[in-house]
Amino acid sequence: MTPTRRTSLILFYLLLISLLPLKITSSPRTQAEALIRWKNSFTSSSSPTSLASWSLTNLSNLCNWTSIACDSSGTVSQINLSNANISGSLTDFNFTAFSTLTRFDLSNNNLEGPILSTIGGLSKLTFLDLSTNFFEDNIPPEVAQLTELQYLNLNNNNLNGTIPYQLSNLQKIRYLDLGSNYLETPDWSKFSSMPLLTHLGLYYNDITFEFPSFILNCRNLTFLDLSLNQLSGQIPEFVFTNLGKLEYLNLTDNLFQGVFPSSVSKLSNLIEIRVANNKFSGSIPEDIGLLSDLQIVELSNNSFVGHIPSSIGQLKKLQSLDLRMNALNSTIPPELGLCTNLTYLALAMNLLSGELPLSLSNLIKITELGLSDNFFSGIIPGDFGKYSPFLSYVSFSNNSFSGELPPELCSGLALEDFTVNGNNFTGSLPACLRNCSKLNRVRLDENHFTGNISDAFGVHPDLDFIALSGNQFVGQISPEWGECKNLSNLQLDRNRISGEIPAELGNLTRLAVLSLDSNELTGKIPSELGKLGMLFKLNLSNNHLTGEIPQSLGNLTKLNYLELSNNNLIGDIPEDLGNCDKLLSLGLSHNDLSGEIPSELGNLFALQYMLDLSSNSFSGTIPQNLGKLTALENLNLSHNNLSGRIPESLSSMISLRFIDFSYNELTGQIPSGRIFRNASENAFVGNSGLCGSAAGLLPCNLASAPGKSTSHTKKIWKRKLGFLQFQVLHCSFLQRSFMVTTFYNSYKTIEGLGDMPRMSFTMFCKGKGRLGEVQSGKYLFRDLRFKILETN
Amino acid sequence: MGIRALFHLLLVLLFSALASTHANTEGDALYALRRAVKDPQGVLKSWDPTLVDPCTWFHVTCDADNRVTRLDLGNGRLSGRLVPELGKLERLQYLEVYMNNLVGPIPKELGGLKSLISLDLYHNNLTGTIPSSLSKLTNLKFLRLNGNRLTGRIPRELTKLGNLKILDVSNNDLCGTIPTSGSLSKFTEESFVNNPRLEGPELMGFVRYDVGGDCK
Repeated sequence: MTPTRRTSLILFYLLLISLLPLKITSSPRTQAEALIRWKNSFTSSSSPTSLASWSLTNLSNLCNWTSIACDSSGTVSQINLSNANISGSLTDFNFTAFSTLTRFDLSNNNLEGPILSTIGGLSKLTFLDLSTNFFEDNIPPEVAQLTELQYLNLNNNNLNGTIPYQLSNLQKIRYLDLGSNYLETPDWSKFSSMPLLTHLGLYYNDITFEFPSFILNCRNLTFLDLSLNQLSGQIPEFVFTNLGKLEYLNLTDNLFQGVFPSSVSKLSNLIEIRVANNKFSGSIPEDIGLLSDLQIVELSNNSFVGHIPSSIGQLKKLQSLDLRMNALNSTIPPELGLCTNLTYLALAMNLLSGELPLSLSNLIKITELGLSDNFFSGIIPGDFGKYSPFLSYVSFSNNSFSGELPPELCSGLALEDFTVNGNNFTGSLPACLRNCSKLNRVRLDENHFTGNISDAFGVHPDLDFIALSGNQFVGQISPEWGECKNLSNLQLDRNRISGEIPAELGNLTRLAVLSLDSNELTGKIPSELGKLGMLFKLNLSNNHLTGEIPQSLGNLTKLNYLELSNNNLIGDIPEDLGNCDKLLSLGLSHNDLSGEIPSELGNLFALQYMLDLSSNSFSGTIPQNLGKLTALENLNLSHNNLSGRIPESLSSMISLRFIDFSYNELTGQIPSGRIFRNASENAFVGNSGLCGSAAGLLPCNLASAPGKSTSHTKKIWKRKLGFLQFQVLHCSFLQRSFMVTTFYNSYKTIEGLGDMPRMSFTMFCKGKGRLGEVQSGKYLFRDLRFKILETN
Repeated sequence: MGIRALFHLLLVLLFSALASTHANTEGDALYALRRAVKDPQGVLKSWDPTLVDPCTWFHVTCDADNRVTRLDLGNGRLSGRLVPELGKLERLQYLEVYMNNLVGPIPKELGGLKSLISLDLYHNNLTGTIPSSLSKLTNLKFLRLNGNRLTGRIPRELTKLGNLKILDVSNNDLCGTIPTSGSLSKFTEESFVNNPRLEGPELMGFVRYDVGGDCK
């Protein structure tokens, strides 16, 4: 071979060899090996069995591997691993092998760690979805090298740092979603416009400052979501004039302010506008009625004032209108009745007034209607509900509505939430309520209803909360309430309901609150009420109930409040009531109860607010055990036939603020506790034999009451201090014992004592001295000279 | 993973529920407590933040102006922490959270409860110090913090609580000396027992009765 031929051969082989790497890096075999290497790096033990095909023994079948697709040359073009339950990261993914990849979907897995900058090697990529994983750290600017990218979704990860401005170099991008991360505000001025961008999501990040200016030039935008950030300032008017293709605009939960210009009408393609929870002000532009494609309008929780524009009646496609929590102060325009596609109308918490327009009855598709907390007045249109069979949520609460409820309000039988409390409604309840099997929450309280409730309601399996309080309802409590198995709150108080309490109420195992007070109920308290294991509040007061207090009430271990006062109850207080150890307040006053007060009541150690047994016929002595009620603030035993002494143990009831023992037959000395000594006359009046050092009482006979001399002794001790040469006291504090020898006014130096320090302190001492036994008590040693020895 | 997405979804759902979550700060404050505790018995199950105010929530009592006056959560098997938001309940008279398994500190924000008559946090697992801000509770009559793991000194500022009738800080890990002036002078040893590092009543004058040792 000639030298030139050899050289050219060598050169040829060199060329061949140098060409090889290019083919090797992106060859099917390299890709297969890279995929297997990546699969082996997965951390989850549940390595998805669906990837069993990814195996070295299956290399030749690469294009049939699960989740893999190839292009015409047999190299991998797509990796679709969405929802594959993969745990791991991208650290061992060899991006350089996949320059042929066009689609890479890893959404909804458990991948973590950073997005590597080598991702820029996927030079043909058009679709990249890494959403809903745990990717962290910054978005690498190298993503911008994916110049073919049309779809980029990184939403719902833990990415942080600023958004790299290089992303705007992706000139082919149509869909960009970076939402639900921890991204921070970049310098928007470095962002070029992205003319092909139609979908932009930056929601739920930590973006601050003003509306990103580059968006104003993305004139093809149809979807823009900036919600849940801390953006502030005004919306640039260019948003309305430039983004004419916008269909979906979401700015909810930011700090935007300012007025909505009438140029909002330029967004003629708008379908949804959501700007709730910002600080927008001014009026809602009348021109909003020109946006004929609008389906959802959400302006709640801002500071909008003025009118609800009547032009809204032109929005034939409108489904949802939410204007809650603003300061709108007009009436409801009758044109609103023209929005026949409206399903959701929320106007609560504004300053709206006037009567409801009759046209509201034309909202045939309405499901949720909220008008509460406004200043509406007048009557609800008489046929409201007749043409609206889908009504499930209705709230008129806290207005000044009057008249009767429309009889066909619930005719669709779909009502779940029905609240009209706090108005001036009168008359009866609509007959259809009985058949509304989906009722969940009902508030009719604080109105002037006069209807008969005996059959107004039926069996409602989902009913959780019902309040009819504060009306003039008549009729009886139906036993059917006992079949409303999910009932947790039944309040019928302050009405004119008569008849007996049905025993069936005892079947309501979830009942937590039962308020039947201030009615005209008769008969006995059913013992079945003792089955109400979840009951924490039972109020039957102010009725005409007779019979005894059932023992079974002692089974109500969760009971906090028991109020049975102002009835005609007879018999004893059941001892078992002492088992209700969570009772905070017990009221049995103004009945005909008799017998002794059971000492078991002293076990109600949680009693705090009140123990009122007054105005009954209790006899015998006051149990000593009551002294254990150390949290009780209000004790009323007045107007009974109690005799004997008020037990000294009641001095332990250190929380007492109000006491009343008046009008009994109590005798003897009152307890020494401070509340007793400081009580007013009225606490003890009407007891001929009580004595003691309290207002209105005579002092008891001196005789041999040791207690008296005790305090006297103490005073002598302090006054005669000057005469003492020394006193030895045994004192203790916090379980340490001291022997204190005091030397007051004695300048005699006693050997070994030296110069005593002067101090003031308080200890608990008893001891012997020239005066005899000194009672134990608290002594304040002020400026004494003494010697302290700690003893064991 | 989907936690952030779930939260986003939950927020969206909350806003589509037809009642406010923002207009009522007292409801928000109580709901912050609900989120901070574990509630195996469902004591707080009725606490629905979509309602216009918390006055129909169980164990919450309101006055005629729909402001919260009582919170009765004693003995509820609650674990978790107290939240600073509780300090916003300006008409609260009774804060009863005794006998639970609460951990963490007593939030200093409780000093904002200007109407408070009774603060019962006894028998929990609370740690940290007694906040000196409690001295702002001028209406306080009952302060029962016994049976916790509170540390540090008894704040001298508590002597300003002119209405205090009952004080119980026994069974804790308090240290230092006990202020004996002002309202604290009326309490006996029983209010302070079982605090092994508590040194005794404070001694005023020329010589300090100081056993030494740190107290923070």
